[in-house]
Formats: sequence, C-alpha cells, structure tokens
Amino acid sequence: MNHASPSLRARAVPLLLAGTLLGVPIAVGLGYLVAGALGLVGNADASDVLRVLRDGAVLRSVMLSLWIAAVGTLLATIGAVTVALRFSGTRTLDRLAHRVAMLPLPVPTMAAAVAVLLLFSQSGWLSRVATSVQVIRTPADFPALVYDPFAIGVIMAVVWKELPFLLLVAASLLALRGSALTEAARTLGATPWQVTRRITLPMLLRGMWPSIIAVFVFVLGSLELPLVLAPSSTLALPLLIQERRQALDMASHGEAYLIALLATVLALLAAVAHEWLRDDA
Amino acid sequence: MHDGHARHVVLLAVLASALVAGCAPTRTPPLGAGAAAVLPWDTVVARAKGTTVIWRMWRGDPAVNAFVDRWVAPRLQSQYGITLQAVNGQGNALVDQLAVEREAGVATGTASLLWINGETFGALRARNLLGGPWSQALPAAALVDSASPIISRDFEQDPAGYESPWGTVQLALIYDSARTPQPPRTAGELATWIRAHPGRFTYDQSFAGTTFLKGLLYAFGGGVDGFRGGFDSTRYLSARTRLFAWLDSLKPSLWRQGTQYPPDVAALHRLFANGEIDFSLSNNQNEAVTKSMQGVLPTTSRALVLREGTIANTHFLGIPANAPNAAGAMVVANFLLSPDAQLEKQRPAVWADGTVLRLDRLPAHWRVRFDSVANDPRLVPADTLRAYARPEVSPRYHERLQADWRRLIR
Repeated sequence: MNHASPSLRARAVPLLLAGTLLGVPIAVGLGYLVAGALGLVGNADASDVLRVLRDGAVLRSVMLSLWIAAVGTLLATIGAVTVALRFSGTRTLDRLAHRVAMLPLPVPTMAAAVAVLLLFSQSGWLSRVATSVQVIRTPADFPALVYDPFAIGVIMAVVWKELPFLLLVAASLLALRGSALTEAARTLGATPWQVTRRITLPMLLRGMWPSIIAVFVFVLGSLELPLVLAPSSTLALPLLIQERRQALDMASHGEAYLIALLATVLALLAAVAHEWLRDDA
Repeated sequence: MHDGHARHVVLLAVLASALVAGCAPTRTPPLGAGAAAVLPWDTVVARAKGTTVIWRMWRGDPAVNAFVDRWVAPRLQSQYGITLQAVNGQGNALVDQLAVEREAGVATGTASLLWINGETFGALRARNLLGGPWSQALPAAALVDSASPIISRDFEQDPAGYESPWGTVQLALIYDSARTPQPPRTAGELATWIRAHPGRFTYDQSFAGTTFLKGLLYAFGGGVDGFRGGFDSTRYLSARTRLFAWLDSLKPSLWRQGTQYPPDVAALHRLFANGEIDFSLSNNQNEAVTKSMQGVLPTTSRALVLREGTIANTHFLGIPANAPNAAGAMVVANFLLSPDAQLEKQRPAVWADGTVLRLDRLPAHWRVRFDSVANDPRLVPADTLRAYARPEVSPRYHERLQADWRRLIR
C-alpha cells in the first residue's frame, strides 16, 4: 500500500476541498468563541465564567431553550411518524396527505413565525373568529399562545416547520426497507399492530435518530422563531446571547461569548449522546 | 460592532485598498474640513463641483433612504454638480473604520460625510477622527435654532463646529382618538388610566421603551437639570427607586400583568393597531401620522407628550479628518439645512423628521409653508413639543436604566 490508487487521489482533491470549505468556518467560529470567552478578543475574563454559570437568567434561558427544542422535536417526530405510517400506501389520499404535510418545507422560518403570529396571537385570526362566533367574549379571552411563558407559539412553529423534514426521512426509510420486513413478519403470522410496534416503529426510530438530533440542535440554536414569538420573562438562548452582545454596557459583551460557548456545548452534548445511544444499540 | 474582529476585517480591507492605492500616482492630500471652512463659501462650492460625496449613514428606514436617494441626490447633482452616494454604516462601526484607517496610515479615507450623534460623536472627537471646526462656516447655519438646548448640545457635548445638526425627534405616546378621546396627559393621569383599564398598556423592551422610562426617571428625580454634568450614581439610584416603585405598583394592571413585554416598537405598534392595547410609543413625534398614512396604524391615531416632559434629541452630520472631499461634504450639509430640504424632510408623507431651523429666522413665505406642515391638526403643536422637550444628558443613564430594568423589572 505504498501508493494511493489513482482513483483515491482523484477523490482526495474534492474531499479536501469540501473538508476545508466545511471545516474552516466551523474551526474559525469555534476558535473565535473560545478566544472571546477567554478574553483574548473582546473583554471577558475568567471571573465572568463563574458569574455566567451562576446567573439565574442564563440558567432559566438554558431550561427554556431545552424545553422548546425537546418538546418541539418530540411533537414533530410523533407527527412525522404518524403521517408516515398512517399514509404509507400509494393511494391518492396517501399521496395527498404527504403533499399537504410537506407544504411548510420551503416556507422561510421567519414567514412561519409571522404566520403563527397572525393566526394565534390574542388579536390574531383565530381569536377574532372565536369572538365572532361567541366562543369567547372578547379577543383578550383567547389563551395567550404568543409571548407566553411556555413558548407554545414557538413550539407550534417548530413542529410545523420540522415535521415535513422528519416525514421526508421517515417516508424514505419506509420505502427503502419497510415492505420487505413487513411482508416477512406478516408471513410469519404477525398482526398489523404487532408489525408496526415490533418491527416498523423501531426500524423507523433507529433510522431517524440522526435527523431527530439534527432538528433538536438546530431548534436549540435558531433565533428567528423566538425573536418573533417567544416570551420576554425568560429569554431563549439565542435571544439572550444577542441581547448581551448588543447591550450598551460593554461589560456584558464577554458574557455573550460565554453563553454562546455554553450553547455550543449543549449542542455537542446532544451529538455525543446520540453517538453513545447508537453504540449502545 | 464593538469588537476586535470587525476591526481586523476592516484592517484587511484597508490594507488591500492601500496596496491598490499605492500603485496609483501619489497626489497631494485633499483639503480638510477645517481648512475648507476658512475659504469663501463660493470657493467651497466651486471646489465641490463635479465631485462625489460618500455619506455613511443609517440605512434602516426605507422612507429616509427614499428622501436621500430620490430627493436630495438629484438636487445636489443639478444644483451643485455633486454626486451623492449614501452607504450603510453607523455607531461604533464608523469609529472602528476610521481608527483602523488611521492605524494603517491611510491619509485619505473613503467617506466624506457621517450621520452621527451622542456617543459616536464623543468617541470620534476623543480620538481626533473628525475634521473641523466647519459647521459655523455654512451659510445656512445662521438659520439654525442655536438657542434650543436640544439642538445646541449633543448628549451634553458641545458640537464645537465639528458636527452640524440636520434633524430632531421627540418621544411621544400614540393613542387612538376614536378609542380614547380623553387620553391621560401626565404620569399621574396615566397611572390612574392604566389601573382603570387593566391589560391595555405596555411598553417595549428596546430603545423607545427605555427612552419613555428615561423621561419618567428624570421627572421623578426632580427634573433633567439635576442630571446634567455627567453620570451621578446617587442621583440615579434615588430616581430609579421611585421609578421602579411606580412601575411595580402598575405591573398587575399592565398587558399580560407585566410578565411579558413586546420586543420592539414594531410589535408594540402591532398590538396597538390590533386593539390588544390602547397606547403605542415612538421616538418620532410625527410617527402617529406617518404610520397611519402607511396603513400601519389606525387613521385616528394621534400623538401626545406627557407634561412631565419627554426626551428629544438631534441628529448631526460630521466630516472625517481623512475625508477625501470635505468641501463637497460641506455643500451637502448646507443643502440639508436649506429650508427646502428641511421642509421636504418634515412632510409626513416623506419622513416627518423635525426641523432644526428657527422659523422666525426664515423669510415669511417659508414660515407659512413650515406652518402649514406643522399645523396639521393630527400632529402635536410645535410649541407644545418645545415646551415639554427634555434634552439628552449622559448616555450612562440610558445604559444603566436599560440594564437595571432587564434585571429588576422584566
């Protein structure tokens, strides 16, 4: 194995290029974040680390962002799996259901946020309809789903945006491996429910894990939805970072780097947990 | 952009352009603003003819951009032969760029005119990055309302000829005259109104909200005059205690019981327009009219200023010390102070930016035209605005109030 084969060498160049294109921005970003947290750029110093970790606002912000990402991803996964299983055939209805569920995929996140705002805020469309048909007396009686402490509006938008992506993965998994396994099990006398519970569902989840983790990490760090819909009593992590970064008081700029680093660690932890789960399985 | 990163990017860009410039034949450094200011005005205008002026300004409002690009620029071209190019840039980014250019030894920068005020002016002056003094050399400077404490000082700083005023705004509450025909006019009346109408009042978490609270802070602390002369921690804390006690007592009656606050003025306007709340805020006293003309707010929207006073401030123009075209920049600044430009800028359909001119220094026919714009019954009368305008003092008050509000109230 002294010489790399020509085909390998031919592949090495694009690989190296792709690696550089993907890797360098990440390395620079992370390096800059660490430098900022260490006070090499900006004005953070070591004492800030403890202060940030002990800051109740930061802790609450972490909890809120984890809550949004976890509940949003969970509901999107349940929705995607349900649609994939329920409409797995090739009938017109199945195809129609997939089409409808896929609609949000190309919609920009910001547009999704505004759509939730227009539909579900207390002066939104649903509230007005409910008032006009006298389900509620005034628009203010409509439950607070936007700028609410549980970030229900954000979670609704997350589910709406991420369900199609997960459905795409689930549907292709089913198409790829579903029928053969199902038929084998049915031949062996399994009931449809048994096939779903014992074979199809575990197969789907195993295949979907990387995508589920990707959605979780993406939601954890995404700014657009919280910017438009999230509560202000506790700020979601990206908003907290933005606020500290833009504060007039320069002292809090260092904290912004530290909190961003904390958010990165959370995302990395999710990826590590995934690797660990996969090895375990 | 307060950090070193932006600086490094700028430094690279500057070094690259210095390399390119180095290959070009060397020229004598251009005339600075201070030197241009001692020339006869006709000479300045003659030197400016056929030149380009690059103006670094805030480009965040389409109405402002349209005024600059489609009204100002063509007139400068036809009247003075000047090509105006407005480019984006504000605040600390301006300071960074000029500081880096100086470090890199760039004698001639790119921008000749800057839109600045307050802290940015202070930072630029402290580092000698502004050219001047020049603003008193403008013929139109004689028309400026130089006696007004709002226009003659910039966050307590003396412009000293290094910046020229070009517009002024004042914080106002916005209400719907159809919904609230008898709006509260004082902080006390406002508190009574809020308690009588629970859930119908709030303020935003950003600049306008903080400016609204800052006006009350000065009022509760015995008036803004006591806050002059730099940041005074004792005075601040005693006023803050009163303000926050007032806010705490109102909290249960605010929108969402004061547990949530809208992120910015746009969200506040939306809540107001949709009827979730009965008041909005704006840093521009005329926005009730401009936004209702755009269909954003109800047509019955009106502005009011609390009798305790609201914060007013002025925006200025500066010329960098390394400006390539100081003479051209002075002609632009002078044009922007002309009655023609000031009036156009003040029209609600254009920008509704307040004038810095003193109307009794204008010829009678101009006064009539200004009055016809300012006497729109939907606007707050000019003398009411003037009577309750309060100047900006040390920017530290804004900074501290914003941080403390986030920590203690939100």
